[in-house]
Amino acid sequence: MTDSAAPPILPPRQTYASVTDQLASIPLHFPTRRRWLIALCIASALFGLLCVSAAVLFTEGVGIWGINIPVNWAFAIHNYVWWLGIGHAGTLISALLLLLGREWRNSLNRFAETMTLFAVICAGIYPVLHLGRPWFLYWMFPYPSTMKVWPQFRSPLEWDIWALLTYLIVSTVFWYIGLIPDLAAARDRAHRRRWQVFFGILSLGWRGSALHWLRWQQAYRLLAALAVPLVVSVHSEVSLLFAAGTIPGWHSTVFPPYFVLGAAFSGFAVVSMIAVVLRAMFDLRNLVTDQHLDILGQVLLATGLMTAYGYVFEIFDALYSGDAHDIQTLTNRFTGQYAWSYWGAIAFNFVALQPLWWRSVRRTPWMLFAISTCVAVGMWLERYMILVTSLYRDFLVSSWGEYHPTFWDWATYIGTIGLFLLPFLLVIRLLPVISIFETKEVLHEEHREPGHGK
Amino acid sequence: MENEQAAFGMLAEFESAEALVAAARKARAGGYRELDAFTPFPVPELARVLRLRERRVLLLGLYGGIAGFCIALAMQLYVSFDYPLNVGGRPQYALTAFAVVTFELTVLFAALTPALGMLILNGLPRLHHPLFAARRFHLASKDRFFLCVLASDGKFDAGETENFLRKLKPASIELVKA
Amino acid sequence: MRREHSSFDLSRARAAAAAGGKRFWTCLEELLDEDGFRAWMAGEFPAAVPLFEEPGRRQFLKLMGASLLLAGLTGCGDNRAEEALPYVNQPENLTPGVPRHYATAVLFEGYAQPVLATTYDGRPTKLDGNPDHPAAHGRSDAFMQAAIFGLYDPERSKIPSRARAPTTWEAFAGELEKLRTRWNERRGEGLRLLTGDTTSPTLIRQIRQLQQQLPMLRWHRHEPIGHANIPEGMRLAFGRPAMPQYRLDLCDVVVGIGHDLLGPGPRQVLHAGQWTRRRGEIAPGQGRQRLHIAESTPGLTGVVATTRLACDASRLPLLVQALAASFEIPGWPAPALEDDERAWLERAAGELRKSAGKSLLTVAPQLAAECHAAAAAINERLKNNGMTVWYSEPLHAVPEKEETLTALCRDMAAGVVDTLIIVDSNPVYTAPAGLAFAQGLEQVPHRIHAGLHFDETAQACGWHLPLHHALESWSDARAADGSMTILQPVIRPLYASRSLHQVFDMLAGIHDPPADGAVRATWRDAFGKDFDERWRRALHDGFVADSAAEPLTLTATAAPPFKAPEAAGGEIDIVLGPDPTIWDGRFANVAWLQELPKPLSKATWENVIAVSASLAAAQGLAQGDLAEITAGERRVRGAVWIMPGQARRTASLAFGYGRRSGGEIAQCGGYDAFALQSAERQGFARGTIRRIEGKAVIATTQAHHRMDGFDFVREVTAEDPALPSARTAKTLYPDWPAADHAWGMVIDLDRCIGCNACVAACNVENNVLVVGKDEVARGREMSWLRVDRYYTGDIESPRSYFQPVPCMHCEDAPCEMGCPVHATTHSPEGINQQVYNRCIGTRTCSSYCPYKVRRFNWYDYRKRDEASRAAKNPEVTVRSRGVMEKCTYCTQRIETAHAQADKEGRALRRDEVVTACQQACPTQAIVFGDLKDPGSAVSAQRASGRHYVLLEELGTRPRTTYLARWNDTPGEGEG
Repeated sequence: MTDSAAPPILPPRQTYASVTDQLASIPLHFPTRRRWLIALCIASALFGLLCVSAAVLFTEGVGIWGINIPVNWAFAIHNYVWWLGIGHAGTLISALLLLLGREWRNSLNRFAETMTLFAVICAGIYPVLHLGRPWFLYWMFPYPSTMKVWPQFRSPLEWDIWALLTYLIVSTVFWYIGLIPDLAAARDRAHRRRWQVFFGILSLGWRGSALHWLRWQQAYRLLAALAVPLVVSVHSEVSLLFAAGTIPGWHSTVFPPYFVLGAAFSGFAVVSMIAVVLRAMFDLRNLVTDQHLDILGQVLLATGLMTAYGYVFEIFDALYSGDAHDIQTLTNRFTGQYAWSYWGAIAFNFVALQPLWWRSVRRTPWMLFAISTCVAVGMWLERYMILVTSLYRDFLVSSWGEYHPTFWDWATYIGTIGLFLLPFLLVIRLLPVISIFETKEVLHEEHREPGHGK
Repeated sequence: MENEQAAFGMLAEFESAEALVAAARKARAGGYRELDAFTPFPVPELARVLRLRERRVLLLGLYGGIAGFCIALAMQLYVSFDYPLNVGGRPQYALTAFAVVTFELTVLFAALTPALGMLILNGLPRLHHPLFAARRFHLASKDRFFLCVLASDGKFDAGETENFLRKLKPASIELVKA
Repeated sequence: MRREHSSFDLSRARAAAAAGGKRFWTCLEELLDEDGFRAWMAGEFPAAVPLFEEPGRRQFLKLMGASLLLAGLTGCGDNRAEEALPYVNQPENLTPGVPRHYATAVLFEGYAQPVLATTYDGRPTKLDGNPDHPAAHGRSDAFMQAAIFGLYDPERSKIPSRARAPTTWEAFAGELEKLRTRWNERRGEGLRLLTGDTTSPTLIRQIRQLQQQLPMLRWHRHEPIGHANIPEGMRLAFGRPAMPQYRLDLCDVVVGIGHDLLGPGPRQVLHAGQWTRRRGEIAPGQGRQRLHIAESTPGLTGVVATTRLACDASRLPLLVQALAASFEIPGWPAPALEDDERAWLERAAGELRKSAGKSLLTVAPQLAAECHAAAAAINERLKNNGMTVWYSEPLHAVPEKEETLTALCRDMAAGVVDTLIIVDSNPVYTAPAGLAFAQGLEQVPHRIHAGLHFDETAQACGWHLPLHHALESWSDARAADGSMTILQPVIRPLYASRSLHQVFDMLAGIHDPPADGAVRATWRDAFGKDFDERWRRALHDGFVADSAAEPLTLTATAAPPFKAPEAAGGEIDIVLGPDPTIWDGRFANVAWLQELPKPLSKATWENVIAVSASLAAAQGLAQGDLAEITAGERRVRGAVWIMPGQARRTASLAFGYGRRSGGEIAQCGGYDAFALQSAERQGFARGTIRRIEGKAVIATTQAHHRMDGFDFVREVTAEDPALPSARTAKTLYPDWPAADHAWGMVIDLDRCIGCNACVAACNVENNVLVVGKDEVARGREMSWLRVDRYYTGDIESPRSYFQPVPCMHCEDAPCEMGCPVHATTHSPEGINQQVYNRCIGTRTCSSYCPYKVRRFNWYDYRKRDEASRAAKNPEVTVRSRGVMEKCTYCTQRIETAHAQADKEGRALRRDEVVTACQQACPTQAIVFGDLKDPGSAVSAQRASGRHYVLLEELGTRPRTTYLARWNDTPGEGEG
């Protein structure tokens, strides 16, 4: 990764005032209303689709999906993993880089965290949707029931629900704590009463007292320090959903790191996409600079290569074990009915990544955007591949089957994109999309002695 | 006397963090103890200059973590003890399997306690505060740095304190009503 | 409620309405208060009749409702007490919820399938083979298991109808009066009866008596599949009709030419039982029975055969001819054979000779009578007659030349038939297209049909009379071994139907015959003075003591000279046979048989055109392609199934589908193979096949059939009869405290003939729901126990295997570990339990299950399968939507046994608990019991050298294990 001893991230001749006004004014005097409204309409439409599919699902049953025996997990679990993976990048960017003292992250962390939040929510609805009897979800929690039965804590699904909730809560708190000072700033810039009340309440009466800052920093850094292992644990645990089963293609110790890296990979891709869009939308080139894109590109490349290592190791794993069933599954992935998902993953996640070796490519927004999109798609294919190509042909030849997603499979998935966009759009409309005070911190550092890390 | 009683403190505005830090140092040298500073972003030096001591937030995190760990483990062990069921021949107290939830809850508690603790110690939420009445205090969240000598300081006297602060060349000075 | 001659008179209606003042009416007939309507009411809702004296609509509806309810529960037939034993005589013994068992029988091609019916509160829920019966020994087949659903079939015809309008038995009686006078005048001239094959002494007696009254009456018989050629062949061989009775248990060598001895049919249970008794003996030294089968389309017998020859249907007679020639049967010249045929034949002939007196030659029922004569002659030469095969009187009434369907059709066309009474037969659908039965029928002025369904024939007849299901009626019939069974009703008639004996009583002029009158009459003569005692005994036992057929002493006069027709050039052979799950369509309206996978293709809900790989290649046909089969000017179109082991130039078609009437389910699809059936040759035609546009989705439960180098099914040979002993699966986990019993199951793959009886029994016992064709096609079938079918070797002549796969009940079950809510756990007795009401449907268990034996309720399938609601086993939960389910080792039976033992204050007896699949299996391939008891059958099996564990390498430590199959195929196994 870059070292912040490199030339200043933010272009000079920016004052605290200019930054504050520029960022706080985005919610207060929202620039691109029309484009935003159009986006909102699309998002709501998608969200509507999700509601309809959910309604049908709850009335009819999971039979409306293409799943069957043997492939009785597909889109639901697959997209759950995908969304959750995307979520992780937000936490990594803002928490890990905070601890590493990489100021450049200060221009990105806010919307990265926001993205995390809603990606995790999107993931979070799937464990509910995919249940045969969703109305009994609460049985997964320990409460004294008349039948005296408790949840089964040896089950990866049980781990999953706890991990997911923990992750959701922690990232929400982390996001909000980080937001408070900026809410205060926005409060103080607001002139209309509505906004003053709105931000006044949200900012909890933050005054920026030295002692408050001290405690705030301790809490914030502690949260960051916890968030990083949390991310790793959460996705490792998600990978155990599969690795804990005996199914060939799942039952492998490489899964946890493989999944975590893949998650970070897809996440950074989506961060880059959002960064490119936002900076164009709100004309933030001075804050989300080309160098930011450059760094994102590098991170993307790095995590991508690590994921590729995962692919290599998967093959090695199967061949080294020499287990006939593992090899069977491997060949199915290469040449089987769903080979497209495997080669698709390779193409989008590895081949499409290579241009990032060139600085010029990393610094060209539309190219970075295109490549990031490829990665998002590629990771989607990879999750599909891991799930379906393992299940559709497991041990007994007699029970081999096929899986074909139905209309409702797609509707539910595409619907969740609406569930992601809708609140995200609202947030960028209502709250400062880029951390104001942290940006000023960076300026402060640079004014004093350029390129000095904390 | 009344207005002294009624005063919250004397607020001095500075252009830069460095100026504020210097002023704060002088103020302490000047014998003032009840000082507070307000900045648009965290300025670590201030803590040193103002001799601010604060460990409780971190300790809260530690306690939270320990609590979470114990609760999680106890819960899972009790569940297996209360209604022992043979699940795929796995051991009744499968600590390896319980590790995951234990870890998650440890993190959850260790994260929530300092966050809440921070707010409570800071006395937040507090939607109204005397300082908000100050004319230029809204700049504290923008680009100005404020030093405040609190009225609770033994050495505080509206007149003297104002003169003392003037010597520090602030951008503005204001007496904040309680 | 339309009725005949209800010419509507408005003025009358107005008048009536006015006159009645505030009189309520529910329909015009009631308003006009016609006698017909009263009569109809009397027939349908006796309870409601008195209401018409003091009409009151609300009360009327109330009772009407009640009466309808009754119809659902006990049936609204007349309420005369018939003496079903012991039910009606000691009703005080009846404890609600405690099942009672009645010995009776269900009918199949006129033969009795002796059953023990389990009934709850007068509601039969399960049939099993009658354990005391000499022919059944408590074993059953899929049809027997499914009979219960035939009983509850909601689409059975419920009331008599005339010209499709509901009417009453009284009305029919009236009609009959008119007809009878005419018959009497003409002494039965032009009066014809048409039934299927029957072995019922009572029915035969009734018809003979009718014939005495009406000498010119003629009784025709039509059995769509049947075995008409066999008694005919015996007539040629012995000069008198007879039925060969095989003793497979005495054979060292069996040679079957086209004869699927163990395949579905009335004799399957009998033969399978005999075969097993011999097959079981594999003590070293004393060799195994060797089974040589030549067949054109793969059958169950071919799968377990020592050698199997895939031989085109048209060449099967040549094999018989060649065999006859090699045994110097005069007039049987040796034909030209192909190499593989000759090789097989020489081996077969050689072994027949080698073990003369302990060998047996059988030929397919559909082969020409001459072939059967030849077989009898050859068995004579081999001194097999009287040893491995003996001959009895035909069990069914053999039709004379003039009593065949052919004769009937000829007469109908000639217009000499005045009245045709069709009883329990559906010739409009099942008659060979060559006979043009339907057209002939139109020539007949008076057409009366009595049957279970309002089927194709019913639609073509003026009168339709609903018949009792066998389980509702008093009757009698003979089992495959000839022993007599007296059928007693195990449930009150559900609808306003009557037994066929009642119908014949009516024909004989008895206006309102008692349900059991005819049957009692027959047996009063037979039993003589101690009638009551023997009658009770017969009803109790389920069969009449030593009534089995007697052997005839016959000597074969040489078989008449015969030369098999040489196969003509370009055309292919077309074999028309019964469908393995719905037979000739008589079971077509049982959804649940429709969903039972065909043993070899594993297809459901339709029939396919089975062709060989080479034929498919030649015609450019792929799996599921639509193809048209043309024989002469007749043609059918169906989906192609490439059947491994199919004879090269033979296409096999199955009857029973393409129904045009007879119920929603019956009309589910497929093609009508009867359309190809010629008048002359039964079950065989010659023609061409060509690909046509389109592709069909064949709903099969197993898409892949090659073992792909894995050893799911293992084999042993005489050279090395033992497998490497099972690895003692080491585990890091501490052992859980175990109970006194450890349930386990061992399945002997060497005995499995893939007949589906176990699957059927499991489905009935455990209320497994039907999901329908689309769901099956999506891989969502529900059966807890499946019979996997594998092939190895060349696709033209593969080696086939069956492997029943229930839940393995692993000690270290991956599924249990996956469940987040403790919905699937391990019982102390080692059963992998599924707690339906705790399941939230995460499906993790199924994802983790290496054997994929778990089934999921994707929708609320209960809604789709209401037909069988009444047949549900009250001991087993019916699973709701979103719940996982699976084999439970029939835990309800285990618990019942425990309860019983506790009540009697004793421990469980050895092998006391019997699972449904085990109970049904006609070859006793499934053994269940207590692994902790070293003396139990299952422990003994586990000690066998053939014992192995499926997917042992996974270390799941299954409780269900297998015994390897013997491979004695020359070259592969023993020489």
